[in-house]
Amino acid sequence: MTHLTALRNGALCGIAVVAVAACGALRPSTTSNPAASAASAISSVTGAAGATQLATPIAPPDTTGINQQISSIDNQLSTIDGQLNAASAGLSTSEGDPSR
Amino acid sequence: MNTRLLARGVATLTLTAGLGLAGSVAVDAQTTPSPAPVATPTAAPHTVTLALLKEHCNVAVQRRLATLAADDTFLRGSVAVSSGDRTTLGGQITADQQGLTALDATIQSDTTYLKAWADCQTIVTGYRVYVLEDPKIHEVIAADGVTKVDATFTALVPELQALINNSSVSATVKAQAQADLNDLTSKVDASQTSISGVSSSVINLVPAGWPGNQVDLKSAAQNIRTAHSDLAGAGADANHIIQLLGA
Repeated sequence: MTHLTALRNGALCGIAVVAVAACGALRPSTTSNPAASAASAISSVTGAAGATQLATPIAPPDTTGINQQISSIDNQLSTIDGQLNAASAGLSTSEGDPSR
Repeated sequence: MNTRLLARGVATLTLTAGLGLAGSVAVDAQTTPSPAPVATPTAAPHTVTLALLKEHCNVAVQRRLATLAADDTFLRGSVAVSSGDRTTLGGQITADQQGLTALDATIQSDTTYLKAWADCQTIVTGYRVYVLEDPKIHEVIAADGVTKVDATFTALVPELQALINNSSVSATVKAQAQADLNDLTSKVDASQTSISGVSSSVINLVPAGWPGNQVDLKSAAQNIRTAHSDLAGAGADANHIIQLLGA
């Protein structure tokens, strides 16, 4: 009797092992297309980010380059002003007798 | 924040330029003699000895050489001068320096008062350093500077336009910024008209044409001043646009 019970238990255990192995073998087959899997993963990630981006307010424009150009212009205008004044000084003078 | 940084930068530049300008005027003031009667064609009475006359003439030459050296420094240091104008002015400065140095040597070797006096007058009549060469050099540097600023504005206008177009400010503010940009563009156009041909109108003026060519120098100075004024207005417009859009 004891022997029969042990035999039955062993058979049940064997069926259980086969069933578990079958589950393991089936699971990879559902993800046999890695590309599709990756795409799915990416789409879910970007979808989340996109939702976050829409929620963020628009950043102010970067005017660093424009500001630098305007500063350069201001600098050049100051130089021109200095050259104009130097020229005007010559235009309003006269050359005396160099021998005196 | 950007606007505040810009305002601080402009203030610093203005102060720096002011100091530089003061230095520039001081240099010229030291080398420019005070107005005195123009030399007469006849020799003055022998109130000084030949040795003293030669000394006066040498001082006159050295002062002019110092002015030309300062002009050469301005020319070399200016990033706005066109390559062609830089070569032309540099050649003129070198020729004047060599000519005056040779003239001084001639005067120092003269053996009579009259000959030395006559040669000494050539320091003025042959070179016109203070009234022609020096102002001419400054005018060409300034005129080429205006051309360079015009080019900078030409590159800046589309960037400012894009800034206005993409701005998230209200329609009213955007319209104000656009009006400023339109004004800026018209001022840059006006300055280009004013400065056209100015450098070439003065760069080849020679002492032999004095005093008739003084008219050309004064006309050029007026055109540069007008162009400068327009560009200063355009600069104010640009600053205002940034202020409007950054607010």
